[in-house]
Amino acid sequence: MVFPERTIAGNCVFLGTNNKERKRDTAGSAVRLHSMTGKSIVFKKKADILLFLIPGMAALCFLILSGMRNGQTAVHPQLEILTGNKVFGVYDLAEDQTIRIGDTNVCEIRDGEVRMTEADCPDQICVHSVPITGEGGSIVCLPNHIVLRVTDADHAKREVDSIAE
Amino acid sequence: MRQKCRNRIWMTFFIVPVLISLVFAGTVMSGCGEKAPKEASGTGMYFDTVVDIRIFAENADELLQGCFDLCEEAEKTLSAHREDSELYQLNHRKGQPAENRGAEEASSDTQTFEVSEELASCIRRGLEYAEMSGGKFDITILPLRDLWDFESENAAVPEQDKIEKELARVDYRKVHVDGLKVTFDDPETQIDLGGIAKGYISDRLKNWLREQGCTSALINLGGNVSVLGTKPDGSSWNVGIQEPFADRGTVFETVEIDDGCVISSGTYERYFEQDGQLYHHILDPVTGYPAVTDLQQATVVGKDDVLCDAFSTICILEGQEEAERIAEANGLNVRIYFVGADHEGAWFSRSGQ
Repeated sequence: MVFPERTIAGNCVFLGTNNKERKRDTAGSAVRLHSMTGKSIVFKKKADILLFLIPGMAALCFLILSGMRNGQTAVHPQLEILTGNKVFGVYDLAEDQTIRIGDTNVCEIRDGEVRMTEADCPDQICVHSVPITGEGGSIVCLPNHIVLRVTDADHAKREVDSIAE
Repeated sequence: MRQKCRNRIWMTFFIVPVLISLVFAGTVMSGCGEKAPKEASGTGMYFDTVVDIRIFAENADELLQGCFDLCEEAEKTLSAHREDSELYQLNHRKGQPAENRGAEEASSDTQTFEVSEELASCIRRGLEYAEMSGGKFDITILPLRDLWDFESENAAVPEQDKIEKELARVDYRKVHVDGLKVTFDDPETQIDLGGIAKGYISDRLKNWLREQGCTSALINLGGNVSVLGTKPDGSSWNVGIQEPFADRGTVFETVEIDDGCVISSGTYERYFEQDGQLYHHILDPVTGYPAVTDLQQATVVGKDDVLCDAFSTICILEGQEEAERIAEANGLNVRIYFVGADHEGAWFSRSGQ
């Protein structure tokens, strides 16, 4: 498709530095936007707005879709607590809180780190576990069948993909 | 004239960008299929332990569910403590031997049962490693293990006469497998597949995933790490090795692997202290007590999950020198990371590798 040059020129955007020019523009059905520098950008016709709006929307579409493709735009790590094979609750890692898990365990989210702070189990392995973060990992209290795990974790940042014990 | 011009403007600034964005969207959406497979991850509790699985595939959710279904199935076959499992039924055969399973009794003491392919092959592999270790790795140790009961809140050293009584029931040579037939020479013998069942199951999960066309997955089955292929971007998996006696989750050493497993055993896994002495859960079938060993931990890296699972325990039972000798003598295709009693780690690779 070939565009005649004058068409494009005729729909050009004028920065309102030239008073004469601006006057001439305002005579039509112009829309005026004020930029941060105090200079105003004047659109001559509705089509001029579309000139910016449509490619802008196309770019937005592209960003959202490519985000969906990588699955990374929505990384929002959550703490998921499992008791047995059931989900006990899901909590925001960004929100500091203390969570009671039944009568046996207590865990805590503090500055994006999750710890098991109390457990009535004999081995206390869960209490003596390295805190987990948004990078993934889990803390297990085997005697009480409780698992703290991070879902939607940012695995790429973690030093290891898993730990052999 | 003016109307014409306006139409052209609409053509230029509305229709064209819309078309372009549609084309973009199309390529992006179709790209989903080839470039970045979907990820699904889940955690479940089976075999008294935690199973953590990450799968990368188009149908990742479906495959993840399939894996957990397989775990459930395997638990119903191989668990020594779940009362409805096939193994539990086999171990508690006394009094009602044959009827349930359509097996025939050959003599008063010898009992033969037909079992599932899965259970038969798992017992067969267990006996293979019992032979390899000269009986140190003994799959009939269950009565002794139940006596020590390391999972208990009040774990303590059992009385000597009780240890001797249960020890008399431990002897893998009284179990024979022929096809699907398992024969016991002694009605008192009980089987515990704890030393290899996890390896057997991760192997099975990986084989199934492979059959389904999956090329990237990570399985952590109660601390046994097993991976299928590479990460989706083609890079190797990084597997950390737990530091013995440190807080859970403390990484001591890192291994890079594709398509293989990293399996650790150690005295730090489960133990109790009594009178200033540490009693760990890896029992020596000769003495009836925790194995005397020069190792805190042995981590076996290889391609065969069952072998690596069994051999990591054999290392603790035998000590470093003897474990290295067995690995050489049997031509085992493994690398081992030993952590000695001095808390120093060292890699062993079989010569010629």
